[in-house]
Amino acid sequence: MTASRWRALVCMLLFALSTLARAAMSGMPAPVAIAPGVYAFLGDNDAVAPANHGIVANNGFIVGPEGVTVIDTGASYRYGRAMIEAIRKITPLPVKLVIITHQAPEFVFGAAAFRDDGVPILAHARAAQLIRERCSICLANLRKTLGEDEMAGSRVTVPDKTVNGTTEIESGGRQLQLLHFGPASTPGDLAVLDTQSGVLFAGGLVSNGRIPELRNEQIPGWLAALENLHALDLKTVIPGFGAPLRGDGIMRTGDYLRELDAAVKRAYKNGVGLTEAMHTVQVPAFEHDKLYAIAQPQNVQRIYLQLEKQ
Amino acid sequence: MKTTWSGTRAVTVATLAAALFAPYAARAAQPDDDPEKVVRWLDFKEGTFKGRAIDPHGDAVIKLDAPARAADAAVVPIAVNAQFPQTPTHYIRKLYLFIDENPEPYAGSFEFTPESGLATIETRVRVEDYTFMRVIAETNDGKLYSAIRFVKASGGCSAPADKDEDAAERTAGQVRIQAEGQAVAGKPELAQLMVRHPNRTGMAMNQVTRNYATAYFIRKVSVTYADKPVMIANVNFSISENPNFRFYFVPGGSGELKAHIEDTKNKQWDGAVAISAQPGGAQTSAMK
Repeated sequence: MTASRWRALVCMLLFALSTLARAAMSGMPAPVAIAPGVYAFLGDNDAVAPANHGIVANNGFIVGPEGVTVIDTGASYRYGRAMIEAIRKITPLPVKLVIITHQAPEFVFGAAAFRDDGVPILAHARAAQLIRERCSICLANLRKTLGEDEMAGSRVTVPDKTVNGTTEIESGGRQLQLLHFGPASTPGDLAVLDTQSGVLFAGGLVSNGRIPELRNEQIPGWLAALENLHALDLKTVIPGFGAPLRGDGIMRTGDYLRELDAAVKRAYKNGVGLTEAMHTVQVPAFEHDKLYAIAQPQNVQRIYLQLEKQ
Repeated sequence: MKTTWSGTRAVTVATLAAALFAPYAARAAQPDDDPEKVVRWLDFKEGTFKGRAIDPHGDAVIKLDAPARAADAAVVPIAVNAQFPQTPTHYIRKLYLFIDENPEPYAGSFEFTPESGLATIETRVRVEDYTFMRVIAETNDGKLYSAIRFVKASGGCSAPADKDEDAAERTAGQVRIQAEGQAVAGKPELAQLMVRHPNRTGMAMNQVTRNYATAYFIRKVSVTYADKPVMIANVNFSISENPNFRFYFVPGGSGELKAHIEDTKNKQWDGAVAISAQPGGAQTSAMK
């Protein structure tokens, strides 16, 4: 083979590789400007599946005069890297802090990409504990669903900074309120309120157009947290899942929880068995929400089993 | 990675470690696989049924109800629904439950009599991974029928982290047995049996102590009505923690529904409830 043909081959390979690198996170949403300096990546709100690369949940970042604060990190290392690239296109300022709102697989696994860059990662202490104890199982589940390639480089990344309750911090030159209302959707939920814009990242507390998956919830605490958020009279809320909302819109998550809880209690009291309850207990107003077919029977099971233990 | 739970403990632990660190070395079962080509099933089938034919379209005998997707692999509710009432001349004698991908695939058996009324059983099981789950029904004429479902179960990734094993063991054995609704003489009546018990697999690592507790589970449940057997379960740790069974019996005028439970430490417990049935009229069957 002649030298020129070698060069041509190498060039072709390099081109192919660069194309691959660019396409490394297909499906990556462009950041949406929510308010000055506040951006959100909006996931497709569906079930985690190979077709959506696990990009189902929302996350975002807040650009201050001195740096960037990232809120939640998506379902994979690859997604975390893609977030970093997307942030670079908006601002040259460094990422100062990552905040994980709660322990759930769609929110935590991009954190490894930020840790590689030496960025501190903050969560509620209970969320950090659950990430340490449980996320290897979440990771195995995601690998099974999305495949080894999509999850390459993903690893359990335990937050290195924790808070135990509502805390006001300054990050990147912006004031942020980390709101904790006690155990709610998980034992360690945080909602992040940007003081300057009044935009709230609600994490696991709010879903829009998608049934929340009950995993480690306390419904009374969750309802109380929603009431607390509602009282803040917020203009813009970025829910953990689905399109941004006005503050009033968050109460629909509470409606679902209340109706679900009441319906399961009714069935349980009437001696309906678990299998039958999973088939028959419905929350009709929500049956067109995403994930309903999958999450509704699972949510029924979860509440039913808790009733049994009482 | 397909060693059984019955192997030595060292092997079990090593297997689990391998499963944790390289969970994808083995290919997961898929719903479009041929369920009649699963080697562990074929081995069990040969060993247990010795070449007897099994009708794979057992829909007229039993239906297996299990969620296609289970969010918590440790508690997967299942129901085996008998499709005809038990009569002295035609009844289901035994149901075998087999979960292909479980480290111990054979979960156990449930035996019934004409006095059961209906050979329907509901319980909750542990399910490893993506797997076929199958129930084989043996009728009193010795014929075998199967029902099969594919279940995708995921580890509970936000389950409460750890339990107090000692406390779970201390409170083991509380038995609750009850009939659902008003019993009617001569009509199959639904009963529920709940036993508080850790029903440990011996395969789960305590995340705090990093230790493995030994396997400890209920191995036998015998239920009688008026001293005649109505449901006998020979089971293992494939049944979820706090075992729960729903099944039928046919009450007469009055009688006692009794449960006797034995676990692997040979601890025994009993539960009983007096049933006073209303006189039966021209009642329709409770069958679904």
